[in-house]
Amino acid sequence: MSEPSSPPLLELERLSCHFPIRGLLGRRAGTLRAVDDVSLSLREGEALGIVGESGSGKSTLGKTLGGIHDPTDGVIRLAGEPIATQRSRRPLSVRARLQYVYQDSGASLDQRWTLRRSLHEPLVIHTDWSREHREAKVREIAGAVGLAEEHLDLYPHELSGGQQRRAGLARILVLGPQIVVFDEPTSGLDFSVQATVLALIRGIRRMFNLTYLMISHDLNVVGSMCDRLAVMYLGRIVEIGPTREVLGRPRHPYTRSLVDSLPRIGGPRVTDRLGMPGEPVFPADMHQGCGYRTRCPIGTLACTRIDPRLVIKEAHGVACLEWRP
Amino acid sequence: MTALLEIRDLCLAFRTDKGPAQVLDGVDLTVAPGEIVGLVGESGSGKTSLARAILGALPVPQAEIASGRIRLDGVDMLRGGKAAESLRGRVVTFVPQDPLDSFNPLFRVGTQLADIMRYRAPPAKEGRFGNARHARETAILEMLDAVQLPQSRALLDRYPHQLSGGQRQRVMLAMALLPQPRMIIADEPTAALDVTVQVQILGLLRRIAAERGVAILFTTHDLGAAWEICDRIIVMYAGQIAEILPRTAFFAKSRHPYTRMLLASLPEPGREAIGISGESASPLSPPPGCRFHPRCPMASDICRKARPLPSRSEDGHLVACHHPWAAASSPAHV
Repeated sequence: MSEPSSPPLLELERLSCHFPIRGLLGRRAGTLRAVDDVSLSLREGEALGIVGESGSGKSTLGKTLGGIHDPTDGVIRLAGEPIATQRSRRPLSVRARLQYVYQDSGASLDQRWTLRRSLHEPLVIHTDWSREHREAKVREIAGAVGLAEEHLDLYPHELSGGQQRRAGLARILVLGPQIVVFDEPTSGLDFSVQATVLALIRGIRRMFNLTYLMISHDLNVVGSMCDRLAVMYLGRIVEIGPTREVLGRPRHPYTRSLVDSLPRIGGPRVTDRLGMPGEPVFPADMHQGCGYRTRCPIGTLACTRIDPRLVIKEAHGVACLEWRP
Repeated sequence: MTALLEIRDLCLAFRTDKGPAQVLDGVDLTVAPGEIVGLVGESGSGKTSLARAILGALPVPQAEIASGRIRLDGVDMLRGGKAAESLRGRVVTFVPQDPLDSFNPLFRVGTQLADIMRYRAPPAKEGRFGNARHARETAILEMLDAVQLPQSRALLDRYPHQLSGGQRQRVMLAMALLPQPRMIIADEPTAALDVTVQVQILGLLRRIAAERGVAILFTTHDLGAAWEICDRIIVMYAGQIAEILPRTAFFAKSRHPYTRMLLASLPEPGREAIGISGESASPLSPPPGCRFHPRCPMASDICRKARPLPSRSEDGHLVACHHPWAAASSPAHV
């Protein structure tokens, strides 16, 4: 998908993350395929959105990238070099270059530390800079995320919710990461605050030429923040492509139903039409065929037997047997 | 049409260690039978407290209703005593945000539905051989059918944690409908659901209101969900009503700066949402005058001094603002 001239900054090759399901007496009763055979790549400066409903595996994918889960199979490459394999500790230098931001990034601040100390800490661990050098960096980044200098002497509980998120972002940015994984960066925020947080992420993207992966259940959020979108269903990528294409001309029936389910203020009511029936099945219960077939309006008999592969045409990929170019 | 629910000048405060927190300030609203009214606001706007005040479910020692009245079906809900008590859970029922918190995890779904039938619902028609239990079961299965739950008999034997999020919310709706209420108060009923399931539940709420003539008071922070199902939307900010919009004036003709800025905050592919700077007003020390003035770009001296009085136009559109947008102008984002 990427041009040969610019090698992808991040590359996932057939990445899987499975969890054992324990039954009676801890015996292995099955396998939960949270992430199953996912391949994608990300060029420098690009923003990729990963969208899916609960249970689609989008968060597990993000956590596997962030080094919180070990992949069961497959390779993650950062600038061409493999960084995550099964059961190997990720080197410190890699962790600084690829950062994972939790849902409530403000909550990951130490409650008993001033903001200054929290922001210095990553630099103490990852660099051998002098105190003055670190302080200069901390002030620069705090300014970039819109925190005033006097905020640095405050404790997390003295900051508002929005300021805490800014502080959490600053903590990620002091290390100058090449790639940031945002996991539901605005969940639980009011719309008015969400918009300011998204504007902040847009601002730092421009400022630092940031490459990021944004995971969200909200199609509107990733749609407004990302160049490309990947739609996940039951651990698989069912569609991937440029945001405008995926939202404007969805190729997978699941993407279509997601797009059609979004309320459009001022437009016709979505509830006037029929909503998509059913809910996703439990990932462990799927054995064969397309995972979406239980809800699919256009499924055929073949869909129960054949596992659709991701077919990419004109940078727009879809995993559906029924799709024709 | 006479109102089913009528709230006049409701002022509610919570006693806290730091002094009284004014959660609701002079709220006026009515809901007609069969009407779906959306109560839209961000966190701290007082929408959930308002819903709880109607249900009489406010925390007892802390909550203090300073003034105002709530009348439901002609009964004074605040001072009605036994008469008001007999309406709660019967004439007005409740659908919570996260149904898992509201089920008893130790009892099967069927048992919990049967309890509602026994203690809250009007007596069922005599069943086969005059068996009341059989009649109750028939009524429950009919209701599960009405909320579009297939294979409902198998469902009755399950425990709440064995149901999916959408199924739980449907069972909750069935429980709210069994007493044959005239009004359902739904507190963010779709906030915890995926978008494809949200559409199903919203469609179901609309059908219930249309087919059974049940009024629904629907609190949400999601303007999109409100747009989907509401006949009227009440926009609240910091315990006060900012604007009431009828369906015909829905959003495109919104006049309050807060409503417009909230709309401009919605993320949308291909557009950069703007957001509202600053923090929501603290209920402990609300700003004088209009509570939105510290965040409002239109604010002037009068906004800092005097609370704007609501002005109502013929179509029922009400706005409480000293500098409302002209009725004809269309908001920037449309």
